[in-house]
Amino acid sequence: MPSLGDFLAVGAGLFVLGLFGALMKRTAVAVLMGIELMLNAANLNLVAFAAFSGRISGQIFALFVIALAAAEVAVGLAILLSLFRSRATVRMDDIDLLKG
Amino acid sequence: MPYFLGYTYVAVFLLFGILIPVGALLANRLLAPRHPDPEKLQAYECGLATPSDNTLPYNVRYYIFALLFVVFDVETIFLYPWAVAFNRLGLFAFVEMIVFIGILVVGLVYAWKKRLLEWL
Amino acid sequence: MNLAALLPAEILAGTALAVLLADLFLPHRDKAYLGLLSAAGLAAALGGTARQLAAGLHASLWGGIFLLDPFALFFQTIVLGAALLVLGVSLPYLERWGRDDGEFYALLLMAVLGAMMMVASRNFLEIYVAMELLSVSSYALAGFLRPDPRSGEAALKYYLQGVLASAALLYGISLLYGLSGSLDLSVVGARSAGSLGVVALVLVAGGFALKIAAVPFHMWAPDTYQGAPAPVAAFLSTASKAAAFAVLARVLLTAFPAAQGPWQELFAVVAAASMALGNLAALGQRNVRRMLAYSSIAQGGYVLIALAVATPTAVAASLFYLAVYVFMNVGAFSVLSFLAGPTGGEELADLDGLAERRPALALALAVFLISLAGMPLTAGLMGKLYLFYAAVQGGYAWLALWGVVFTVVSYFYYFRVLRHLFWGTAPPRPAAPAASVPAGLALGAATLATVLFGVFPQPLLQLALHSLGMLR
Repeated sequence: MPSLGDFLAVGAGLFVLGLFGALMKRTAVAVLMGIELMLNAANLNLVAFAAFSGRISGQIFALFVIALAAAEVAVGLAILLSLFRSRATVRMDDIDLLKG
Repeated sequence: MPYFLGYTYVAVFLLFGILIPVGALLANRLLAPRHPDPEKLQAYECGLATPSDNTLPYNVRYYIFALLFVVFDVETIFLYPWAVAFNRLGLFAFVEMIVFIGILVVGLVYAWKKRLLEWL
Repeated sequence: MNLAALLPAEILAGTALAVLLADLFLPHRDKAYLGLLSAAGLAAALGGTARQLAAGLHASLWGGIFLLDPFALFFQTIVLGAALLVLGVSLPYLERWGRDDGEFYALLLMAVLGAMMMVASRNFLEIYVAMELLSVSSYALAGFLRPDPRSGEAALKYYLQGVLASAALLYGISLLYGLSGSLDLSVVGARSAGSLGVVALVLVAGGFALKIAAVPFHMWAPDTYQGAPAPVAAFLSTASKAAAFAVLARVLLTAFPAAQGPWQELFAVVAAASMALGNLAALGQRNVRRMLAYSSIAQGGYVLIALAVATPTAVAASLFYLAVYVFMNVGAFSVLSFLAGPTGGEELADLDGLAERRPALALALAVFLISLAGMPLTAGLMGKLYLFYAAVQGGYAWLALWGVVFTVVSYFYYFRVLRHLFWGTAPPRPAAPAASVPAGLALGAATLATVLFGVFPQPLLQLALHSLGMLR
């Protein structure tokens, strides 16, 4: 049986990996993937804490996060889609109409 | 212990199952002559010249369906804990779940009236 | 009891769903009724919330998940008021763009609902869910002018940065949950001491700071405020900002009073940086909407002084400031929304001689800008005075001085707009479309409030102080 620390280490690794991807990737879809990793890192933490402390609230929270992440991604892909229709690109470097 | 001995056969099979294909591929790699050129490195497409990249854009309709599917599919996770604890939660939780599903139905009606459920 | 106390929120949710459904079945020429229905829902919710505030309601709901205290009710009133003004302005705006669909109103109502629940939450789960409702609706609103790629770009930039910050926020919450074993605000802070607790708190504060557009997390604001529909920019810069500030204040003051020293220093730096960067960057802008975006970053900096000082007077001053800020900032963005069309029209040169072409609009914009700058006889000045005074009192005289210096800097760009309004030569161009009745009402109310609270600030300040009395 892995210890709580193992779960937290995996969670922290996922979070850092996701953050790295979100900050370094140049296409919007890849950024989204990185952010999904970060959300799942938080989820892993919540579930691990809930399991090791015997409290259920963390697991409930994880369910909410899963549902909200789906809603978030749906809106994000919809925005991306409508932008792609007018600009034909998802590369962040090309999305540059607004600057001061 | 004798019970677990039965598994040694499985282990031996597994070992050979891995060794034989790996050995075959390795032998092929070591023995066969290799003279790669651009034509040979192309993805195989029924013997004709490859017309395009294999990362074709998908029809945008797939995304719309995927978006709808993701949202409605994931929302159902709230039904599971509710169903498990149904007997203890009583009438209030039942009404609450009806309201929740009602809101989802509004979303579905919206998608339906906007003709997102048809393949145009 | 629980359901009755949340009646304003339920009205909003019901109206949002009704508008969404009605939009599907109404013929196109009757779309205007959807706006009126939404306005009725918002007004009903506003009335209910104001009554609860007047009655001094202090109720803990659903086993402590929600806390409807005067602090929450004060911010709910601010958010609902801002939304009502924004709605009044959006009616003609959307019509002009040909995007007067029910979705806009439904999304706006849902965003308001999220903000309302957010400020009344006492539980991290509910804070997160409510904030996501606000965020997801806002992303869609920012990209609502679909034919315009600038709107899509504004939405995408806000979305990517917003989702990133909310993921960090969530990770912070998960750490706090692990440290304390609870999601309840009143329990979390006491058990989250130590360096890991500080890291978690910074992650959580970062999530809210993005919505406030405070300095390290401000990058989305100029692009989004410029590209999004003007009424949406008004909503994001006021209601969304106020709600995030309320939650941040509640988290810090009720959950983490023990760690006060470190986060006070942190917010002093954030406030100072926001004031400096917002005001300096605004100086160089030719696009008025983008200039207002930077100005709104700076205004967020003034408000954050309250969290650095963290005395009751300072927090009350920030409540006052946010309340009057709603009127002047929604007002300023609204005037721009009348001028701009699909082809732009928000550059400084486009404002030349507006005083001759549209005297009422020019006068209103002048009042809002003078108030944002903080000149006498406006609400903006009183707000700044209270904030700076509280900072001096609380031992942050340098922060007050810093604020005064950058207020003077801000005069340059606010008055440059005034110069264009009154002394610019009007180029021959088609007159801006006539303002409609709801938009006129919204603008008139905002102008009146800006002046009124400048001349008679006492009642509002008393209300702010009273709302704070029961925060702890």
